Amino acid sequence: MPKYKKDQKKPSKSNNVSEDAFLLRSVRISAILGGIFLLLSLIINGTERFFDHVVTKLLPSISHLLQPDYWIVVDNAIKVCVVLFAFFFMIISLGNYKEYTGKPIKIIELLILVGFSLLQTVRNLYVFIFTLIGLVLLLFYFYLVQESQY
Amino acid sequence: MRKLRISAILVLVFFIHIIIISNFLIVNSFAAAEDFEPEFGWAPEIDGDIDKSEEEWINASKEEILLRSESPSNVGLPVDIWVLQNESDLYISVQFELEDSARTPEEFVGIVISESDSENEFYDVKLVQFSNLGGPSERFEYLDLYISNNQYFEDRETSGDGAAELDGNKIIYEFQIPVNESEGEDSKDVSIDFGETYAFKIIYGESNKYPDSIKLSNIIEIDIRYPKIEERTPEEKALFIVAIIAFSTLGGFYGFYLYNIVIIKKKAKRIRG
Repeated sequence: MPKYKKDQKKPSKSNNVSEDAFLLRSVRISAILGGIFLLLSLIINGTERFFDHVVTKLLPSISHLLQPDYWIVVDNAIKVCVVLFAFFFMIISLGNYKEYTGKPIKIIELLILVGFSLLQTVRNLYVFIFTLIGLVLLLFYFYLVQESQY
Repeated sequence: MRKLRISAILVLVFFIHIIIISNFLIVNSFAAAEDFEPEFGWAPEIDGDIDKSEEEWINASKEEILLRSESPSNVGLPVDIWVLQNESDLYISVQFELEDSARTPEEFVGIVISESDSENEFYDVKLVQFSNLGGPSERFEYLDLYISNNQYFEDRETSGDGAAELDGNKIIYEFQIPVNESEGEDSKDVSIDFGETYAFKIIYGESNKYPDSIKLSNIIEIDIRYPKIEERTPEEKALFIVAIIAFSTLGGFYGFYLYNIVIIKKKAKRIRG
């Protein structure tokens, strides 16, 4: 029986290198962005000075543009967005980090990240609720993206 | 007996007259300086219009004072003064009514600010000057001036803002004056600090020849208050501590994660064999 080698497709080395470089760059850039949003979250969710009236304290000259109640809504929306962006970039960074090292992201790591994202918002009920909703939506989005890859 | 009763009635009427007249005198004499302790509120738009729909000036301290001239025959001009404050600015609105015939086309209202609560240290002037008031080409200009040797000079670096609008017989002037070394202050401005009291002279005049054209004035005092620090409840304090712990832990994790990113290549090589 004639034997011949099947034409097996080997993953090219150059492809692997460029994928690794991409992953590494993504890990670093996402971690930096996550850190920036984490710092912003610390300023507006974790300090006394900017906890209330974030925008109007930073830009008092525009405070007349909206009624006071609407500024509270804007403040809360900014707080929610900052926490969600921090989570978004950190989860991307962590996911790519895990992929680079060849391990899957563990559920406990995911839960810790979700838990700490929520803990940042405990001082304001509205921010907490909307962050929770946002986190669920983000996790659902990541789940869908993961599923569609296979 | 009847005479005694009439005398008693006359005495009573006399006392009632005294009470009414003294009341009248008190209302119209006004203290030389009205003292304002402005509430904190949201910044109103400085456009000469009090927008009631947006509850502008709703928290303002409001008093009526009389702008007077040096001439004893002049009865003066009653004006409403509204004062409001926020963390960066002091807002003063001056409102009054005048018949058209009593108005002049070059009317102005200004706020002269003292460097303290003393009435002898007036230095900084914020002023809204009309030209052709009530006419077809009516316009106003906000001027930042300072006083030196009783002369008014223009401050080239304008700080604050001012606007005015005539609506029927009523005119509304609005001023925004920076406090607590906010942006825009320079050496030609009085530095208004929290916790201090300052004298403000409200001036009214009829042409742009300062200070000769000043016809009426009066002095008020304003206590510049510190921003309110809202006392947190024990639950809020507890949540604040939780948030701080969360941020500290996250910071620790983040630092550890960054360290792992730094050594990621070495780690990956070891894992991949």
